[in-house]
Amino acid sequence: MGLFTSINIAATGMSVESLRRDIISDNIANASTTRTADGGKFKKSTLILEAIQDDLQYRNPFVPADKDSGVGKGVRALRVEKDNSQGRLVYDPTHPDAIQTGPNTGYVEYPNVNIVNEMVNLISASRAYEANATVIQGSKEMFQSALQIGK
Amino acid sequence: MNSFTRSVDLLHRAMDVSTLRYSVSANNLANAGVPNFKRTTVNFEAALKEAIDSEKNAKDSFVLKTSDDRHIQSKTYTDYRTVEPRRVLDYATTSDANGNNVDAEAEAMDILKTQLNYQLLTQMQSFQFSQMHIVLK
Repeated sequence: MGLFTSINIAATGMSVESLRRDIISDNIANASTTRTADGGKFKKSTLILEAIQDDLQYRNPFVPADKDSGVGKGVRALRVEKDNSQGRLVYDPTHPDAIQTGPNTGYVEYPNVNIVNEMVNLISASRAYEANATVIQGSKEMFQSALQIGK
Repeated sequence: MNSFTRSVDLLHRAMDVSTLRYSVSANNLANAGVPNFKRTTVNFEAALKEAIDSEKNAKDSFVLKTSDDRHIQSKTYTDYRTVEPRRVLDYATTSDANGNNVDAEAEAMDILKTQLNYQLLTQMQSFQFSQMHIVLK
């Protein structure tokens, strides 16, 4: 356990939360996109996270000392996943991207982005970011007070 | 071991544990949104108190006579310097639908508490040194 472990851990949390914010921005910006470069409809992205652990983690409190992998190393983004569920359908036959055949003829499929959900996720991402920033601030104050010993 | 070195050593150990606890809480908070992540806590103070009490008891109490080393002792003496902080994974509980059991607010409070505790310890450490300084002047 080094001196700056807590700062490094909080930094991983901050970078993950800012990636989440970027993904939410992309979803909101494309909330009415009907075409994408690869031809399909725009689908919303979700960030999948995982805890960083190099070694096997034992799910019990009695880990032998030589199998102990120490304090965790923080969090990382595992991947960005596309949610391929059906988007909302709006009846607009004059739209160039309106569906031409099948039971939904005349409807336009807009992306499956729910602006309200995205805003809620944005708030929780920025709160988590702030929490990690507070951890770094707190570490700094602790080290400062340690440097005052003997003065 | 005189009272000065003992105090400095005890405060030093307590500060180390505060740093460890701070890192553990930072890790819990960073992983507050990760599915199936379980929180970790640090146990130390109770074990330290037990060791210090055992020292006190060993001094002023009668001891059972035993005829073999393997017999159960009435009082066992633990040196407080052998007490190590223990990290405990709270693996059995779940508070979120995704299997995570980190309470972000509680964790933030823990972080604040640890931080203030550490600052208190540094002030006490400073006090020890300032007293020594008065003597040396």
